[in-house]
Amino acid sequence: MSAPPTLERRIRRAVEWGDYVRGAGLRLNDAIGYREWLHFCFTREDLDVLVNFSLSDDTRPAAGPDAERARLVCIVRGEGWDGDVDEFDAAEVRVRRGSVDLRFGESSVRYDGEAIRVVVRCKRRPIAIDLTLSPVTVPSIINDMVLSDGLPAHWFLVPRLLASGSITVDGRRIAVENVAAYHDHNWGYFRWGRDFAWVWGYGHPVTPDATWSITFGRQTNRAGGVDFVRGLAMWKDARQWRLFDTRDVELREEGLLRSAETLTLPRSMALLVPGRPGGVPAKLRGRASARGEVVEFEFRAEHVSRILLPNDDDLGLTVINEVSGEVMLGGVVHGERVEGRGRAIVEFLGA
Amino acid sequence: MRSSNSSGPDQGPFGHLERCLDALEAEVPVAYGLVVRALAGRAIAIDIDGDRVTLSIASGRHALARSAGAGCAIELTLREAVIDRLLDARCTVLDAVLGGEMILRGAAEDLAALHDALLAFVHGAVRSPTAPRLLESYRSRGARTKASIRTPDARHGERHDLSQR
Repeated sequence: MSAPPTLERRIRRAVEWGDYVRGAGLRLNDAIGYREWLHFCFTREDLDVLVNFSLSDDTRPAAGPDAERARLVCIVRGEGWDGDVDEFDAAEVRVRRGSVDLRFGESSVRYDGEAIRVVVRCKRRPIAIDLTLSPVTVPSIINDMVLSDGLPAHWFLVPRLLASGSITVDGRRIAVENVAAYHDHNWGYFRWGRDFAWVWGYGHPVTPDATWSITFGRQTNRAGGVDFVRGLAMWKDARQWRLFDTRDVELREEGLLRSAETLTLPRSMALLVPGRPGGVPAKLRGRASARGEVVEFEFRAEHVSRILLPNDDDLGLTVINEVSGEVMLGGVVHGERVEGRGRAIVEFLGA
Repeated sequence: MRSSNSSGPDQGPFGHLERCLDALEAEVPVAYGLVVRALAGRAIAIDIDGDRVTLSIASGRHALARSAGAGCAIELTLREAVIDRLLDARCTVLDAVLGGEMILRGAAEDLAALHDALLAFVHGAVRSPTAPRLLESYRSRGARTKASIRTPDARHGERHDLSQR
């Protein structure tokens, strides 16, 4: 469903003004730990795709004070899992600050004023991705999130884009056309292993007369016992429709996902967490209520992949579980009954 | 005397292991310290596709030397293909052991120490700026020459071909 022309212009301008690469040159107080990434993902029953371009300070103990790292995470679930984490030397990296225009080796992401072009050529795996992602919802931005005791981080997101193009894995080409996708852009200070964790996700439920996009999240302490922030945002077609904040939102995890197959990246770090993923719930239920309005969703986990991050200040690990599945949405918003279902991805970050 | 600072066309697993331990010592001393503390006073006979070295940990440092492996607390036998599969997460250590592709011999406490050392080694390697390049070098080894490392009784600068038995 396309937005009215004036709204389309507003969406394009919001992407142009909000999604640009800031860069580590904007470090606060010479602090180390600046990270910035552009994240793209989508899921359908037979396919999951996740692409993440990241630039960060090199926080490894022996790195020089101004050293930076450029990395590309790519995950594809088709007939099986494949993916990799590629790292790039400075000579392979070209970044235009102030715009969405990055090139890491043969991979790139660029916004041309109408759509975001994502090209991935994995260095070691036979994966090629060529996607055009057209934003179709008004973006949102959340500034000055403080994780644990660190400096702030910021989050720009486009909850729904339409992805078209192809994903080729080991010579098998999968065409996609207008698949609902999600994109966000984070920048700021994240020191992995500090006292924070999160559950975050998006969903694309569809009702007979509208497409809905939801994003939700809960930021907690590392143990997950104390909630700092909760929220749920809804978009109807192109417009943001409702925002529920911490006091309005409850999230509850149920059961454990028993996934037979997974992908753990970087591959060599799988030695540290052998076996199946643990601690991923089978279901996540959410409920948001305020001023007589109630929205409920249920996410049913189906597939999980893992991204492992070395903690910055100790020898521990941070595990990000990327979980795809189905979401059911129901409730009443602005007097309108909502009942729909669709695909969703939820990220469980923790120890 | 320890074997260290290897240089030259050393493309085999032992050369990469040695350089990676050197890198950990220099770049991630906390992880390196855990490796040497876990294995303190132990020697490990490592046999990869018939090539054999002894990894010794003594006085807080590592030494890799060609030897018959007599008196080692642990014997580890495996094929390079298994290393590739472990690095690509296509199998776990447990899979390799249960499948008979990796043979570990030693007292339970020594094997537990090796396990602890392996985890500390990987934690260190992922925090070392040098280790990813070594991993890339190891993965991209093509027409590989036999690994060579300096031996305790080699003269300065002299290299010892591991294929010599």
